Amino acid sequence: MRNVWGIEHFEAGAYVDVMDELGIDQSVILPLDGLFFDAGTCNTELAKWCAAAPERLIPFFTFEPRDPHALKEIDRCINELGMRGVKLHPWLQGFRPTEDVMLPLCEKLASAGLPILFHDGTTPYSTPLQIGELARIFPTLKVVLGHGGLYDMADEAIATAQEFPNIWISMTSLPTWYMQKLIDNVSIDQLLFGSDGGLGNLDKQSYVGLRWQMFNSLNLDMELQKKILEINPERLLKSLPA
Amino acid sequence: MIIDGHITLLPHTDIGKLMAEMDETGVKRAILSPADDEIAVNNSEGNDRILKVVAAHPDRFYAYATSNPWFGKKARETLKVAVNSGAVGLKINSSLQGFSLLDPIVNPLVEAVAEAGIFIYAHTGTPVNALPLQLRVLARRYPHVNFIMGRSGRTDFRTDAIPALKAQKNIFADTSHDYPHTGLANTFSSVGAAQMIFCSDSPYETQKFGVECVRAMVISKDDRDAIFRRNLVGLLVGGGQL
Repeated sequence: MRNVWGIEHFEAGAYVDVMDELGIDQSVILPLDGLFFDAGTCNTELAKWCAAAPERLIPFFTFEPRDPHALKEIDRCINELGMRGVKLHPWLQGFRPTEDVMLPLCEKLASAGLPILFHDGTTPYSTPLQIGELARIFPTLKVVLGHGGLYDMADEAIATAQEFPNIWISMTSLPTWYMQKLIDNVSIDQLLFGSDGGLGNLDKQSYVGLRWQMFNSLNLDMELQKKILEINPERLLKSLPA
Repeated sequence: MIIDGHITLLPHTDIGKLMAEMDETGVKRAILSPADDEIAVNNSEGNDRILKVVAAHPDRFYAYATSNPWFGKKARETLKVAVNSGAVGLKINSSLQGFSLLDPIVNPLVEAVAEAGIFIYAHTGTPVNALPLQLRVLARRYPHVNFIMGRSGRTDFRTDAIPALKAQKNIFADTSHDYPHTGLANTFSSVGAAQMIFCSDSPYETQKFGVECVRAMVISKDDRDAIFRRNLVGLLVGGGQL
């Protein structure tokens, strides 16, 4: 992978060691380079990286929605690389979730039962309700708001999740205040936890540990924790039979 | 000694519990801000509420006053009354208060701040009207007024905070919602400890977490002291004069 933003290559085995230390069984690994360089190359490399620990690391892929070959790339990632979901970052990738080009792609993902995770919480292309439109059009598509509206659009993320049961919210990069607000206002069945760790150039992934510490500081009861950390992600990642 | 440069005091806050948290975290003093409707419209009510708490615990708290520039002459008067009662800084949130940081309506209020010899805490990070580079221009217009860049552009305008800080030495980064080996390290390597001030942004993040993040930074004892205490003392003593 390219050395974007000064991030050094971090071996899968080393990250699994970090997960062991933190008590994390599995991690969804999202593409980064592919959001602004060649998506196909990134997808291939990320699948290979996760293959070092297939029971622990779950690879998601990305694509350029306006690429006429995007459907083929989805096919390749699912059927050849065994990838389990999609990550899109509309403002970084320069498209609107409500563009028509998204329709056949979402239809494909809905039929395959794969989740599609969006960066959300920032204008102009990543508001929760813009992303929610896809959940409205495709009621069986599993749509994840990657940040729960971040700080300023938390209310919009809540409204989106309340309206569309196929919206999921990953409590990622959120301060504890906003995580608690989501827990108080959104069905617990729609909530997930994510660290947004960047696998940076340190021996230990301190950011992941700090995010984990923040989640634990909420002191949720065991039933809620189990739903957010185990039951919900299992449901999210369960693909439909081929 | 640690001074917390920004806490929003919600109306229902248990002051005893807040002081206990400060004791546990090692925070000697904190600057309290009015909240929500008090920032937007009920400025005097909010200022009075904060000043009352400060008067009851003068050894633990300082007060931010707030004033909405849309109130014109009344805004200046509101600030003047609060400063005469002990407020040490002006808190503005141009997103919540409905103005652009570059709208001339804010100028008379900034001039009143300069006359009073206090400083400004300005919320940033919320498009379209509360952004780090907009604060840079405002700070350039008033080079003798000091500004704390609230939330330092978090989340998606975080990268704009660095050029703003580099350009204007009268802007200080708010450390809240940032992590020791990523955002805080980046700010430190870009502008040094001299332009960083510890703010917890409690209750939106816990004070304990904010303190732990600054403590985890790989910096000298002297630099940590500057971030935790000395820079803010400089603003409290020097007010608007560099």
